[in-house]
Amino acid sequence: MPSATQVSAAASSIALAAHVLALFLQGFQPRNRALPWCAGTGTVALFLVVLYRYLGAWPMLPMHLAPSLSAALLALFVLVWMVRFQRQESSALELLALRTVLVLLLCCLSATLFFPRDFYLPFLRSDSPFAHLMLLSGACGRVCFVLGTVWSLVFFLAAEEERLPCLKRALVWMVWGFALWTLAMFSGELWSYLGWGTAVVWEDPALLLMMAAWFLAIAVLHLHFSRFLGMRIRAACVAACGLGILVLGLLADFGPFRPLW
Amino acid sequence: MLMSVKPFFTRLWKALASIHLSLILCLLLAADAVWGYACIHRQTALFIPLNDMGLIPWARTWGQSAPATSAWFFLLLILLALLALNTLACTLERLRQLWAVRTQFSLCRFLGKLGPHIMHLSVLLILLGYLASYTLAKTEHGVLLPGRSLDLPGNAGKLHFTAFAHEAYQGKRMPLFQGEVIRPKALLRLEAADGTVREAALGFNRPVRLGGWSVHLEEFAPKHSGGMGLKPRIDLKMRRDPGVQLYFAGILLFCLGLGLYLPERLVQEKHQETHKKPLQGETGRQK
Repeated sequence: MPSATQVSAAASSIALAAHVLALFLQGFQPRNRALPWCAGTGTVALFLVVLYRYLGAWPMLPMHLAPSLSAALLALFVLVWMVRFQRQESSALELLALRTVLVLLLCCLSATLFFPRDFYLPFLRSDSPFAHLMLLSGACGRVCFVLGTVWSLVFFLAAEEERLPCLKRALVWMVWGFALWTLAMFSGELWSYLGWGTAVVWEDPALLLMMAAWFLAIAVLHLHFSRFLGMRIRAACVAACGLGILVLGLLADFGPFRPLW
Repeated sequence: MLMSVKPFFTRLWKALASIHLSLILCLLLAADAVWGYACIHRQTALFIPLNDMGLIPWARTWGQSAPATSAWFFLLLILLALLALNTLACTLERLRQLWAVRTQFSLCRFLGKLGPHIMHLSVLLILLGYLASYTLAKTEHGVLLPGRSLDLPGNAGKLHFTAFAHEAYQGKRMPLFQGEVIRPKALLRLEAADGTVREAALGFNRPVRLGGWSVHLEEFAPKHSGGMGLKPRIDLKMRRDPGVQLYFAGILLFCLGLGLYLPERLVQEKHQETHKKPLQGETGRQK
């Protein structure tokens, strides 16, 4: 029977290849019928990784699953977006946003594939609903942060009259990301209290990265109160903080470089 | 003299309530947390005692022993204190403004506008809870064997370990866990100070409470079901933490504030979409 690491690597490779193909097709024929099939294959492969690793660790929490789960949820979002494009007319800006999301998804998948840290065994204290809630809401929060970052990046490529809606969309996604990230942090605190007796466990430095990402998200949400900053600077700040949040939110789940097999 | 002091305090209050101070503090806190990550990653052992010792004894011993590695932590405390002051000043200032125009809004809208302030105040409550926890909490450790009892400090109650019941892993998905105890359960008889007795099951993520103390399972034996394992034993951590209620109340309040803020924010977005209004603060800039 193949190990969880081998299954993860194989399925993530399939997902990476499928999404590279999807990005390639998107560049030439945005309404190509094969597009959702490519993205769908990648999404199914990613969800299989999550399912396989979850089944392998249940009732405990699979270690360092966050990048795979976040990528799977993002791939699902991309798939829904592509299917919608097939059915209705979409703006050039949305196509641009979709391509940017695909590029970020490919970055995340490549990092998951070449810098894995998912080979650790689960530990007994992770058998808690709060641990599972922390993983899920954290992954959903990351997806929202990706979308917020993408819309703030698209801002710079959009025409003058389309810029304001881009920034508004970016901020709305950031708000949702913040809400879900906060839920993940609070779930972590509750789990930590129940399991270790304190809300902060200092053995695990990952909590500090989570906190850093939370403070960056707070900075983004407070940006629009600052009347001295113009729209362009605000969009640049949202993009920079968004990328920072994504890196900080995933850094603890990546290991050193490892060859595929 | 008084005339010169009043404008100083007004200026100080305005500076403390400044949104730019919030932004700078948030960015500094994020940078400091990343520094902290690198320090803990390099020297985890230095920070582990902070879980049990409390802030002041840790700062006097471990904290002082390696200032290069623990400096980020003291900076974190300073930045958090400044953030607390900034949040308090900013929230009170805006609450005062909101209260003055409360009649302009319906109750729902007013509650929506109140949401962010509730979130801000709950952050203060959470920070206060942490402060109480790290300065006033007491931690004790103990070991119990079946049939033995342990008195909680200050005669707060008595724990009697009656039996060790556990759930061992029997599936085939994780060969390394085959036959291992995955859900330890210690059956305890708890005697409160007033003489009342009750039974409780203690496990990982399942503490029991008695006489103001929370009792957590730290370690257990045997780890493997069947065979010649170790004799049953449970290692306990007992904590009396006055900060817990505060920070959990803060978490609940924050969730309430978030629940009020999100619909308000979405309504605001829809409204701006319909009326094609620029973002807040944009009008002045465009002019």
